[in-house]
Amino acid sequence: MIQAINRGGRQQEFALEALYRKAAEFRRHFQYKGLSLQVAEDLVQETIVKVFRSAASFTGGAGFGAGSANAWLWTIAKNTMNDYLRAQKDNAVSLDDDELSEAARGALEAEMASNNPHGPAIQSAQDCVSNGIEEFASEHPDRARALEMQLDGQDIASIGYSIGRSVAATKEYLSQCKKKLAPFIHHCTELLQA
Amino acid sequence: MSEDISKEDRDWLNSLAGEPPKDADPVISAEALAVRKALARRRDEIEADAARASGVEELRTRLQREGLMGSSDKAKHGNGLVARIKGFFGLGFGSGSVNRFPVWGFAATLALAILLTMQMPRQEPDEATVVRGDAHAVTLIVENPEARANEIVAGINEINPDAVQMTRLGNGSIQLLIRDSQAVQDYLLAQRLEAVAVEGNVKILVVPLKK
Repeated sequence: MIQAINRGGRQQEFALEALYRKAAEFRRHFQYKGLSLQVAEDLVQETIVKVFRSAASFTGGAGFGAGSANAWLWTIAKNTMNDYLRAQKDNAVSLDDDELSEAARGALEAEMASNNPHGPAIQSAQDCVSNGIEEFASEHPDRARALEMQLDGQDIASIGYSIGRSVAATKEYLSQCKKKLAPFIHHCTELLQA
Repeated sequence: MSEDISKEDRDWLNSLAGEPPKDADPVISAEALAVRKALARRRDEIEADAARASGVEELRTRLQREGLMGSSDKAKHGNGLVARIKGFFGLGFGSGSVNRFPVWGFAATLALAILLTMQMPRQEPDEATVVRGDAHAVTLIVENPEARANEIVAGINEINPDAVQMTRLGNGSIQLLIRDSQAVQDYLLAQRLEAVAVEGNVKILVVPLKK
């Protein structure tokens, strides 16, 4: 996708369409973080513009791992959101503000929750796990994708082919995915047992 | 799932795949099933949102305004290999200096056409090859999918052995899943296949021509 951006012409057109579809993940994440749909869409567009600006400097590969295109796109998306939040900080109260009264903090949390269709209010074990998955997928997008392949019932050889690993290494990778996911959902265990 | 990861991990991964072992720890299974449900719902919602989102035109306009993307007209005519060849022969759409000499371009094209006709082996004139590209797959509609797919596989194998996975689908169609690389893209472009890699793979569907 990144290479296609650099090629220009029809390939660039295809890349834009594919990137915009991919950006639905980022839009969801921005909303999960409490931003409105309009702001989320603006940030999606800003993210894609940045991707186009810096596509020529991308040196990573197409596969899975720290240097993957997927991880690179997520880094740009999260940096774009963080830049926006930093810019807003001067003009808005923050939950991190020590001077914030309990009442004001409650009001701010309620406002954020009203903008956020996916949380942070947790009603059930499933909501808890869903929120954990949202955070995990933004931190480890390739690992979330690998778990989706396992969810789809793909055999290990197919998953290994997609992620560029041997069968043995793929099993280990999936096992590591479970371990990387654990901190995001371990607090849901009590709810699951209830 | 094999024996070389722990039983707990194996049970968890099998439960994630929707096949919880009977002897699995219920908490492990419950957690994996909750993860399964959350991942599936997340993916479904993202796909639904991607289908609904309508900001791509606005984005294209902005990218063009900022000079990060060619105009749609340019893209329609193509600014890749074909456009470069057209430009070289003075038949391009841009404003390059060679376009001032279309006569030279025409003469060179004619000379090249005569040369190629004399040197190239005879092609089967009746094979209808239709190339259609989209963001996820390139579909080739050909008379003999087996032969065309084998031709592509042979070409890819010369570049990167084991980079292509061939799957025979119903109705005589064949799917080729090719691990993306610069060399692969260059080969496909030479074959007039403009493919965009998704998650590191290029997908080509070779389907039989309906008669």
